[in-house]
Order: sequence, then structure tokens, then C-alpha cells
Amino acid sequence: MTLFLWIIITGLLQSTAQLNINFLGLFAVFAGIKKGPIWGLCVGIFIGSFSEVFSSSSQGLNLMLYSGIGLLAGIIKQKIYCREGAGQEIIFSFFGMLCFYTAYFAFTRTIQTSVLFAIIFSSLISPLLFRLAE
Amino acid sequence: MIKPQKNFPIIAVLVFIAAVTLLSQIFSSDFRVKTLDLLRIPLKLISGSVYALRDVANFMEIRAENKILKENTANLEMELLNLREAALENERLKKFLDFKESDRRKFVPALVIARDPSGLNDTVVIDGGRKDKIEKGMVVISGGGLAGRVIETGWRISRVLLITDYDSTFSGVIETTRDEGAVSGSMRAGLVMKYLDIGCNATKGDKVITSGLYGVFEKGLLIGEVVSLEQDSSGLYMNAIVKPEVDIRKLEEVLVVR
Repeated sequence: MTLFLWIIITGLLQSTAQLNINFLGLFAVFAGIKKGPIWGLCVGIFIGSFSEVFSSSSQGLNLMLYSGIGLLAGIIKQKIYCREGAGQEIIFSFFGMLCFYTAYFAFTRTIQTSVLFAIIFSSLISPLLFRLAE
Repeated sequence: MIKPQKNFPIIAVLVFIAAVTLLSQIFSSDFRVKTLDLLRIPLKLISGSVYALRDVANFMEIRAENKILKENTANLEMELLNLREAALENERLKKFLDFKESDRRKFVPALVIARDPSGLNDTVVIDGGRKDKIEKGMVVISGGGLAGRVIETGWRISRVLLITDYDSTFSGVIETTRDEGAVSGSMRAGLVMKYLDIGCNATKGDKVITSGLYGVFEKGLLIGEVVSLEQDSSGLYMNAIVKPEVDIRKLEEVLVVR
């Protein structure tokens, strides 16, 4: 419940203040690696639904991308051994964000180099956000 | 025999596809706008607080700006006096020529209350909608320059497609040289004016205005200024990089032209 509340608060903040950090994407990765793929999927669907309301992109795109990275993070975490800690969180967040933006650009056939900063900042801040969410 | 543990990723992916397919049907344009209408007040509160905090953080900058504005006001008051004189003279001449007054435009002020959270689309949500007689397709300006156009309207909110978005393309003209081209959004990189004549001799700082062609925007709205000019990859046209007049990243208040 607290996690969903955090998602709504940060989501509203992200849509009003222009932040170079994708908090919503980080929450999807967090749910995937800390609580498993089903949780990653559920939280991703919730985040995706929230983003759909604010976004003008194609119908269902945010829903697919956020739930996709939540599920993927959970499945990969189950399949590979990785020592728990900040390093693991940064790596998962980095690749989660990378997958998110790459898939977005593939679907929309656009490219924005500025997202590289968002990927780096988001992955660096992930351990802190994950501690707060825990 | 079915092994749930082994088949788990496949089941999860199938659930994912089913959930996304079903849920994506819900998020129609109408549903999005209605939900935003409901979220209008919390969004307004949050965005208002964010703008106030930003103003506090930029206190020194605002102080310096205030000083310049005060000086400008004094100059403008002088100009206003001259303009009043000209207006009176204009009025007299219009009467003399039996000139018919055209419809005066109305502006609806609105506050930017939300943006795309992913930052991948340059669209904003403003706190004005059908209640304020805002309609789809209306022009949105800010600080004297073109900001975008209304693409969706709710009762008390509207979504605006900013000129820097990838989906925004309209016709523009370079004020000095009268060269026409298609102005496309390029997100953070600003605007690109494509298909300019190969002999276009525009220079840095030349103003770009809307041409009024194809009915997207009316003629004569200031878009921005030329930053650089380069030949496109085919070698048949020139492309100009245009810096928008409006600082899209700092957009807080806008005017919707009715």
C-alpha cells in the first residue's frame, strides 16, 4: 500500500516538476527485483496506467513498457545470481531504464540522446530510492 | 505434466500480454482527459508549489530581472504615450475611410499543471477547458511567441501539443528572406525548419514566423529565430535550426487564443 502511495506522490511530482530521473521506471524495477516478477508486473501495470493518463503517446505504450520492465527485472533476477546490494540495484536500474527507452524509441521511431542522462541519474539514485521504498 | 515452476516465465509473459491488451483499451483519449479533470486540483496545488519553490531558488535572478523590467517600464511608458497619439490618429483616419473593425481576439490565461512524466513527449496539461471555451486546435502562446496548440479538451483541463514535440509539424516562413519551410519539433534540440530553398540566404538571428498555410496556425505568429543553417543529407534543400521564442522547458503560464 505504501509503495503505491509513493508511486502516486512521485508520479505527480514527476509530472509537475521537470526531473531528469525516471522515478516511475525505478519503482517498476524495484518491485521486480525485490518482490519478484509477479509484483514487478502488477506494479508496472499500475505505473503504466498512471502514466497513460498524463502521456499523449500511443494508447497502451506506457502500460506495456512499465509492466514489461517490472516483469523483466523480476525474471532476470530469478534466473541469474547477483549479490544483493547497491551495485546490483544500480545495474538492474541502468539496464531497466535502457530497455525502457530503447523500446520506446523503437516503437515511436524517434531518438533523444538526452535520455542518457536520465538513465545515468536514475540508476545512480536507485539505491537511495530503494531504501526509502523498503 | 505441467510444471508451474518451469513454465513460470511463459505464464508471466502471457499474463503480461493479456493485461496490457485489455487495459490499453481503457485508456482512450476521452478516459485520459476525464481522469485529468478529476486530478486537476491536486495537480494545480503541486505545480503551484513547485513554481513557488523554483522562484525562491532563483531569487537573485528574479531580483536582477525585476531591476531590468523597472527600467523597461519607464521606456515603455514613453512609447505608450506616443502610441496613444498614433491610435487616436488611426481612429480618426479609420472613420474617415469608413474602415470596418475586425473581430478582436480573446486570450484565455491558463497555468501549466502537468507534463508527460516520462519526458518523452512535449505535451503539457493546462487548467482551462471547455468551461473556458477552449477548443481543440486553438493556438497557445506564451511571452509573445508560439507555444503550441490544443489537442484535447476536458471540462476544466486541456492538453497542449508543444511546438517542440516530434509530432508537431507546421509551415513557417523566414521573416526577412520570405523562404518557406516545414517547422518540425525536435524535443530538447528545439526546432528544425526543413525543405528550405537551396539558395536560402537566411542568417543567424533571422526571425521565423508561421506562414498560415495548411491551416495549422494562423499567419504571422512568432516561432523563434534561426540559429544555424545547413544543407540536408540529400543536398536538395537547406535545413535551419530554429531556437523557439518561448522557453518550452520553463513554461508556467500560457495564453490560449480564442
